[in-house]
Amino acid sequence: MKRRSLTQVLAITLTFTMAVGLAGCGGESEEGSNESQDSGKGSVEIGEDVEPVDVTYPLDTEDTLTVWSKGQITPATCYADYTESPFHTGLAENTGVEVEWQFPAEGADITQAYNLLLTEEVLPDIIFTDIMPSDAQQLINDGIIYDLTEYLPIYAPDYWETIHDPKYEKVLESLTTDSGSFYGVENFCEDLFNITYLGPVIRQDWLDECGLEAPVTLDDWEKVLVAFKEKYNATMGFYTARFNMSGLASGAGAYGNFGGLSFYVDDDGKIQVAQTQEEWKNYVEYLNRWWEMGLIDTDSLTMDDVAMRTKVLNNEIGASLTASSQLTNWRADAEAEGTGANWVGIEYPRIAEGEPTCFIQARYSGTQGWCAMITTSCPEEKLITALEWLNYGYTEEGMMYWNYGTEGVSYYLDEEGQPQWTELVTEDPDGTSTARGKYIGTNGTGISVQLAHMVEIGFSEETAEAVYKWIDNTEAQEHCVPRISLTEEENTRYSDLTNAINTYMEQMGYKFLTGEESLDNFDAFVEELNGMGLAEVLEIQQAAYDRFIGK
Amino acid sequence: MSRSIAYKQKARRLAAEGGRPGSAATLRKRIARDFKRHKFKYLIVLPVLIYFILFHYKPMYGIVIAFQRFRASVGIAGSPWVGFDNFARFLQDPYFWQLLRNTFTISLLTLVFSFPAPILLALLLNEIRVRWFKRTVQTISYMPHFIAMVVACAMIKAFCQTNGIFNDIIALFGGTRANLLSNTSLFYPIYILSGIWQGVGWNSIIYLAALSGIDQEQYEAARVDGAGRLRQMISITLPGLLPTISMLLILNLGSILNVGYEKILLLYQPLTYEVADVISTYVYRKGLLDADFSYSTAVGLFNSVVNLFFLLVANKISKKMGQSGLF
Repeated sequence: MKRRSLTQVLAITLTFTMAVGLAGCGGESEEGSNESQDSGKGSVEIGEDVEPVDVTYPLDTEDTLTVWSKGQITPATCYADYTESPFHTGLAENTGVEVEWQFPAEGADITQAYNLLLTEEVLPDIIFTDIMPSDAQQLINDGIIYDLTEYLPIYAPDYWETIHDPKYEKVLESLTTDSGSFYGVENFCEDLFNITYLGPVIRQDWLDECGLEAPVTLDDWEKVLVAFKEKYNATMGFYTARFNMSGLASGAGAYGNFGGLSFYVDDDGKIQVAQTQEEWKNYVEYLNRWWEMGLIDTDSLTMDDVAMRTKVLNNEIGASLTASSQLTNWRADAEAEGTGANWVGIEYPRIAEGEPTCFIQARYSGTQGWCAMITTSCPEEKLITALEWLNYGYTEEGMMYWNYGTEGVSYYLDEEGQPQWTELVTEDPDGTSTARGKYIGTNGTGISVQLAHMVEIGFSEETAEAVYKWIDNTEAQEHCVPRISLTEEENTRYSDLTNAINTYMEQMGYKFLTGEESLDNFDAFVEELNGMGLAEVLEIQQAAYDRFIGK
Repeated sequence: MSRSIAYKQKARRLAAEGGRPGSAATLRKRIARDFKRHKFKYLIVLPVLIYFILFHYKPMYGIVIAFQRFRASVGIAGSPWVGFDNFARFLQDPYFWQLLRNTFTISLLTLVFSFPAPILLALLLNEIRVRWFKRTVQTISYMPHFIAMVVACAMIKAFCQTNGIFNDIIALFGGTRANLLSNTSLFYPIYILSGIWQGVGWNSIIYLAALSGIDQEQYEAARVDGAGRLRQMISITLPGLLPTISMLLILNLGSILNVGYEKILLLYQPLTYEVADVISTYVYRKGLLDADFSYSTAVGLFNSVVNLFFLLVANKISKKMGQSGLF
């Protein structure tokens, strides 16, 4: 017993070192790996007077590439690895480049896997990951990835054309670091439709029975909720992780909901915090009144998707804010149990009928920050192949392949020339979503443009309708803070300050909601935030935003 | 416990032998002889040793990142040194005192209420003479231990909801329904009681094992002397358990700041932060949001130093009080 106890003590005292050790091992840096960058340029020509190359696929090359992806573009789970996956083998065939795909082990912490990867002596040729421009700048400075600013216009002409499409005008600046360097090839989403998955939902059958219209303003909401309460003893309930993102704040003209700090750009180009504004106070006043009136389910703060689903099935909830996937579940439950519930998505609340919504879940269309970067382990001779391979997903032909797979196999063109899934996909026993993953690369995030049409034909009619309602007549993007990047020092200071502020804000937001803290103390709340360094946080954000605008 | 005593005697004997002159050569000889005699025991210990060296000692150099601003891409060698900056950041945090207070409160409550529970259960079980009943009780009390934490917490949450079983009971006695987990004053009772429910059966095993090691002749002698069941428990069973209890208490004190974050994370919510937010959950939020390795390491190191301090103090006290210590 004695000996075992001693080991236990050691285990306890030293356990924490494991995590540290994992993060810290591989202390050597990659100093040796960037020498190829300085050696002769070989056949790679860059400069302003060099014409873009004419790329035709399949490429005529012997080169092979290694690509590491942080858990996206993975082969469908029914295949042992990428060599069996129709999408991956087809991509190799179409581009003429054999690719050795690498993914973090299944179930592994992908962020940790990425951090560990960076400590390797020799990196894969291409790394596909989500990354902030400031971190990418660091990687360029450390000599780990290529600065692609001069290469992209010449060797990835289709990508270059895509990012200069007026549709993506707003995100173009967020593709570069503060010093203006392009560091990789970014994933794109064609439309706000692609990235919208949260919004208000309601029992349409109850609305009809009560003879009410779908609510538009917060006052309408109140009327509907009161009617639901009286007639069905049902409330509005939500799962905070779903609700926090946007809530119904738009109905009061607020740019933030609950949870942590919510920044926006005001009309004068100044960064502001939503939760210290009058609009937010008004919004919380509504919610607090509803809470006091018993219109909000008091379990909302502890419920998750599963608990919500049960309550919804038991007719205890009449309105909510949730994800399109949950909407599908709720509808399916209602059908299976024959409750007669007709859940539909409705528009985010507005200040007044006809006014645009100012704050919804989807902030940026365009890019989601996923980026394929070329590491300096990729020798200069292979650089053109790597760039041209990355370019494929942005050519007309490549975009079709990444989004729909192969014509005649996974899709066909209908009478209007629109792609539709073949039976191979729709009748797949594993379900359509998994089936798509076998043939296409943009089911999640791919090195291409995810087309809105592809997303839409994957939805049921009701879900597609809900998403269209959620993004209807919105100005949310006008005021959202773009993908700005903080310097290392700013970042340290920022995270120290915001960690405490976010904790306080989260706590107080819900206390205001439940009435545990009176809204009369709102000014004291703002005062307290200022005392915690909110002004400095805003200064940091503003400085970064000004740098961004200056680009 | 008899093994521990035997070990001690052996250690004493070995110490006496070591006192002989010309020790350097004989020591080597003695070790060689010991190896030879117990080679299978050494073989069995080997994997454990390798495990500790590889996973607990080798990574120790990683602690240095607590004094750096660590960046994964340049590694330990390339990251800048910042001295005690990370520790200062932690101590200056507006929530530092609240976190420390909550952590200690939860730890102490666990020690006071959850720690004695399995001892009581073991004592009670020990008194049961009907074997099938004893077995059944044991099996049922082990069961919660095998429920995964996430599932157990989902159950607790469901029970605490306004339409959950606890509220049904409250309503039965005329109380008003409310979500129990949103109530700051109920968080500790829920946390502690559910903890006892989860662990009491499993943790009583070690005490039951210790109980079976108590010499039965002592009980016979006591019975002859006319001692009742209660007397026997107080005078024989409890003293027999004391070494195990003190050992486990020292170990528990050694992890006083390591309040498991999984359970709190699953049960708390912004409304109960002020009583439920502990160091580990705060660091979890920070780590998850900012991937601030250096900061987490610094806090981890801080935790370990405090833990070690408590372990040493407890060990000292235990020894002073005549009980066996860890070392």
